[in-house]
Amino acid sequence: MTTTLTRILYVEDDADIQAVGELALAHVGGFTVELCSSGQEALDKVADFQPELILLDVMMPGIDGIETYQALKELGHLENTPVVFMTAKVQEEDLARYRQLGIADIISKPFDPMSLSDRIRNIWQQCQH
Amino acid sequence: MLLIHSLRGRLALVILMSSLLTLTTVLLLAYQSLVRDLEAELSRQQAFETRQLSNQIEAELTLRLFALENLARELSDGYRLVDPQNMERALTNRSRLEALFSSAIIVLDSEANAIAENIHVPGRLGTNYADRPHFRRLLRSNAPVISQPIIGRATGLPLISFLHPILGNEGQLLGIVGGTVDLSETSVISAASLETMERLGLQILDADNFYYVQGNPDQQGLSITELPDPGLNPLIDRALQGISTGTVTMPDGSRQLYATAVIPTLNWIILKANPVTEILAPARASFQRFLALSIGICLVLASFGYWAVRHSMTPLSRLTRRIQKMARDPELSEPLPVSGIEEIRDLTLAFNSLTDERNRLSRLKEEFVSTVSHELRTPLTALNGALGLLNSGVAGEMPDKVQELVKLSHRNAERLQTLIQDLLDFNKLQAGRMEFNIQRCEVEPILQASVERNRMMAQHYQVRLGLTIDENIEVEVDAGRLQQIVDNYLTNAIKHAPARSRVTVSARRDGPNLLITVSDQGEGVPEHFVSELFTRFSQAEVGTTRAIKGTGLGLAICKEIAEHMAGQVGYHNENGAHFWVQFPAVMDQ
Repeated sequence: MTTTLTRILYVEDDADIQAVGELALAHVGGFTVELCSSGQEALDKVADFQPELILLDVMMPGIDGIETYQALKELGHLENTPVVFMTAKVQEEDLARYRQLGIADIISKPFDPMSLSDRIRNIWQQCQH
Repeated sequence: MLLIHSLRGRLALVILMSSLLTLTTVLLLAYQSLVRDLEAELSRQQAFETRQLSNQIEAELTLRLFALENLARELSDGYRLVDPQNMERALTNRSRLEALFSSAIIVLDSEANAIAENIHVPGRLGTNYADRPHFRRLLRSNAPVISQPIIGRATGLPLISFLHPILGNEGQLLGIVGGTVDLSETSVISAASLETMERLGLQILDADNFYYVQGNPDQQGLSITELPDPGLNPLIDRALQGISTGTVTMPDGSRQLYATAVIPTLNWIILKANPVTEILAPARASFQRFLALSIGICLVLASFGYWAVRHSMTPLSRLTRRIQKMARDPELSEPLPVSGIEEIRDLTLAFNSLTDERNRLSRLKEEFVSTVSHELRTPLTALNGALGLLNSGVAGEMPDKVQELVKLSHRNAERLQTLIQDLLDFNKLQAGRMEFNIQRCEVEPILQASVERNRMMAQHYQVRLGLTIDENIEVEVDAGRLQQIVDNYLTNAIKHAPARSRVTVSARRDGPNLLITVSDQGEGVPEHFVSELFTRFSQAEVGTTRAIKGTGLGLAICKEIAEHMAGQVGYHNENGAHFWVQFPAVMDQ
């Protein structure tokens, strides 16, 4: 098991947010980031990319974040890969529902691009204990 | 008095008043009619009784004259009077005659000289009575005569004389037989009649002789006195004037109902009078009984009315209490139970449909705010993120002017984000959906984090930030929410503080509480606005030197959050604005 986080699969359908997120993760955080614009694309790429953490937008057209998460888990080899949801939904009942799925954490939008990477790193480290 | 301000009190009063009014009117009319009928009936009865008495007396008089007529026949042989011996015999041992003429039976010759008597009275025999008016009448007419009551010449007693002529076969006057009745002992009126007279208020007036004959309970029989002078007794005046029935007011103020009947033979007037109050006493008594009973019934009716209205109004009071409760607690949205009278059921149904509509609107508002804010946050995420990255120089160095404009854009994008957050928080608080993760925590790290987070903003506004903590106190709060309150106070203070002034966050123990105060050196909140400070959508109008930024929800949110964590918020002005929040401090064991 690696001791530092380097490879992140970032799934976000909104191109603008994706661009900001990529800058925050790759330029500010120095991670290797694989971008996906839909849940399906993520499912297609995950086996080749072998991410150490998956950052998943919840509200997406087609298969949404929750369905994508469940499909990823069904693939079998990602039990130890933390999945972090990103959502603009802030209703407590939504958040509680997400947490019950077994995800690592939730990052709410809008996020601060300068501290996003630190946040991700913290979550990943907590998952390693 | 409070009673008449309520519907039930008023209705009970209306029932009571209308019942009493109706009752009084009916009773008064009934009483008047009863009095009229009673007076008329009694008047008829009085007239009957007086007539009966007069007939009775008339019969007694006729009986005596008839007895004298029979005696007169025995005292002559058709040509002359019988001899003295036979006359003596005819007068003695005649118990029937003695009973009829208690005082005396005398026989007189045709010149009215007394020649025989049944009871010896010294000096009577030989006396001539021709000067007496009734003898004169008989001598003139040769017909039977009954005298007016007179005082007997020899006896000195009140007497009535009956005279019958003794006529010969050819109608010539042979003599006179006379009988006398002492009114004070025996009477033409029987003893039973006297008692009846007394009881019934009967009097006999002798109109010709102005004698006033009335039953006297102290003496046996009748007494005769002079009639009072006119004007002294209105009752006797009326009787003498010949007014046979009516009412008269006596000098003592009492009213008398009376009736009279005349005995023509004697020119006597039978007078019966009864006080009106005595006649009306039974009517008055039954009227009073009826009045008492009716008032009782009225009170029962009014109580029943009060009870019925109160019973009907109870659901209304319940409804009112429930509505007041719902006004205080927006979370309470259960429909009200539909019960009570029809109008109240309708009102409840109408109110329930209003509640349903309110709930529907409330849900709609929540959904709307949630959806809109979500939709707003998506582009804001990209905008804020991009500006943040630009600002931090990740994308490379920018010319100063560009840098300045990017900062401006970033600041405003963040402001927009705060506004949306405020709206969402407020919506959550209103809907009771904000979650609180209350834990025991130290206050120092929370305040330090807040100060650090706002240092950039303070620099921008050229305000110095300070933090003073007396001791590291522990409180049981949701750390994130406490930070939210302090952040809100801090950003407000930084925005309103004059340039180059100081904003201080301080924490100290205040009795059992932890008191956190954020103080600035600005002008403070205008006096008239202080009371509105923590209410929603309120913003003070201040000078134009620094624009007000915010939704007007920030402080209202702080207040609600603090109260959810058993805290209190407040403000005071002392060389600047001081916003404070306090929570019960955790006591060390």
